[in-house]
Amino acid sequence: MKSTLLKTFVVEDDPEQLATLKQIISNHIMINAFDMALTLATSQAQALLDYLDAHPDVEGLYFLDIEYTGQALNGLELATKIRERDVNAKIVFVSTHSEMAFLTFERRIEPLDFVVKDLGQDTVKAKVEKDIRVAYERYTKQGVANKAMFSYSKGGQLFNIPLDQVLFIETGAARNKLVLHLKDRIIQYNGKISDETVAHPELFRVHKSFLVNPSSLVRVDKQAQLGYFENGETVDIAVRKMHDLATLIKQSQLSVRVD
Amino acid sequence: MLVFVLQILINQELRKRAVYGTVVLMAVLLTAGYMLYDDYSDIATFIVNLGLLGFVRDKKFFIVTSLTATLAYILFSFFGNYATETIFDIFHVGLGAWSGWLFEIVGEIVVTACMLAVAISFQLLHKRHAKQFSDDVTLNVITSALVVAAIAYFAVAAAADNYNIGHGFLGILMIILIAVLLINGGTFIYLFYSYTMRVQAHRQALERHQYDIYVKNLENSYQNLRKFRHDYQNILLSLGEYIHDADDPALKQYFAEVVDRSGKSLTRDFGHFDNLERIKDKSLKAIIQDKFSVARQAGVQVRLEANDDIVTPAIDQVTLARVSGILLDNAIEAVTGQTGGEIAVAVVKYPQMVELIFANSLAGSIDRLDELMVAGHTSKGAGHGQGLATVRELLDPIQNVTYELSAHERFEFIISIESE
Repeated sequence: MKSTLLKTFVVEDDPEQLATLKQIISNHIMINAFDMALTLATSQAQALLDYLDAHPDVEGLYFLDIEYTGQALNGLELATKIRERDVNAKIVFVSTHSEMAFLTFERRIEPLDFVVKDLGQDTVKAKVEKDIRVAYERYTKQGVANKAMFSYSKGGQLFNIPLDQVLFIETGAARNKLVLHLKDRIIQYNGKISDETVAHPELFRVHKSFLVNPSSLVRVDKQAQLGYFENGETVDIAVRKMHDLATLIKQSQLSVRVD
Repeated sequence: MLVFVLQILINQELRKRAVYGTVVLMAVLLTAGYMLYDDYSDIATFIVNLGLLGFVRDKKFFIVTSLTATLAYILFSFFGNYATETIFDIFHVGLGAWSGWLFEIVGEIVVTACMLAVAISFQLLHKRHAKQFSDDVTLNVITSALVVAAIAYFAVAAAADNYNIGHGFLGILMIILIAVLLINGGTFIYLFYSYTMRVQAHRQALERHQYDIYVKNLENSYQNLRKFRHDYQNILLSLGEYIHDADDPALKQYFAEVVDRSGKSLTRDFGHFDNLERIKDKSLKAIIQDKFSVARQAGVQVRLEANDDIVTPAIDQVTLARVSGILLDNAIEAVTGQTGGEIAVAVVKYPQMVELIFANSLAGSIDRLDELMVAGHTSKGAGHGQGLATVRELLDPIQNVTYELSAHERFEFIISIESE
């Protein structure tokens, strides 16, 4: 634990809106007696970066606008730089609907939430307060259950996903392409299954084309040599691997039906 | 003349009294002319033929066939003569009283066969290249060439007859003349076409240039509009802060309505042009523009996200156009009829990669994403099945391109294009 306090930051270039956000945040922290503080509320994006550079190890909740008129940084760049300095940053974008780039921000920043200003003051207030609660909850639980992550890279960019989302990896239709199956996502990326087997010891190679996350399996059919997942997807299991897989399931006490 | 009469029989449009009259009159005059004075009969016939062609000035194809037939007839009369002489020579048949008739008959058969071949080849040509034959320019060129050839022939023939030059010499002269004419004609046609092509290319370039200027102007004025919208919304929001503190329920009510109304119209009426100026790749821009307008006509909300200027991504243009076309069509199909349905495209730039995200809101959840990618599989309702197998087929072999798809809250297809 680096510091016990969850620091909150606001960057908003409109003075009235900045004042309103400040008020909503301080009130909500005070009422709930959260171990939080409104550390910095500024209209200058650079001021926040300066603060983060001066205080490494900060873990924070950030409320950012998207366009700062006349400033060198915009919300996306600011958020990217915050991520570089604070890996666990909880970022909330507060802006008008037309400025929001939901898909882009979700892909690049993984923000905690989007608060659309034009929905009216009451909605904004309710959403900001909810985000404070969610961020605080995540922050306090973070230390207890450190979530295992799985990462893959594309074009020099690293993407992280919680390991419990991973079902399995299979070899793709073309050479050097792998297909990563998540619970609600399929990701094709460049790589070799042998390399991935070494890089991810938490996964188990059940077949020359399949690398499985054993804790995502729901059923193993020894007769048909198939492994089943919750959404109905299946993987082939090689005869030679069946015994090792059964042992692993027993050892790790996974709730997988083996028959 | 015979050729012309035949043409009248074939061609319904020539069955006019004036045509008949002229043909009969000419026939009489020509026969009289032949009886009295035989020397220039060929030329006279030809001039009469040309005169007759005046009736069908507008039917260029007809003129072409008619002239070709005339010239072919003349050519084949020579050829027929020589061919028959050769045949007779081979079979050692002398030219007696009865064999004179045989000679005529064989000669006529050869000529008729040749003419038939010309007629059939014309039919075939007309069928295969209907476009060229209906093109006025081409027909004009051919007609002129034929007229020139015919006039040349008759001029040479008249001169040869007058100065008693032998037919062998005449033949050589003709061959040379026709060769020269063909070369000239070919050169002319080539020059003519290259010129038209150049003019056309120039016009297209000009049009493209003007279109680019138009798009640029549109984008500029749209950017201004966006700045205004941004300021306007922020003014409204700041104003809202004051009104919120004021103690006037009527004012608050009215203001809420204004904000609601303007918010709606600002996203609805301008949203489809947002960020388009950031996409510098013309084909990608065109396809997004096109599909978005289709979606908007179907009453679907559209949104384009592009935070940086995007130049041409490292992928084959045609493949990208096909893939994005399929994905957008799927998205439109899936969202049409959905209440509050929305389509969004995002172009995300990384230092070494560009990602295109195609997303649409979902009516129901999709459990088996893997099945969507299999050919022949159509997910009921979601409408994403058809093209995805094709998309996969197109993208799989490309080394620097990978993709992702997800159906969490919304359907999303991401194409990651790494720079090479």
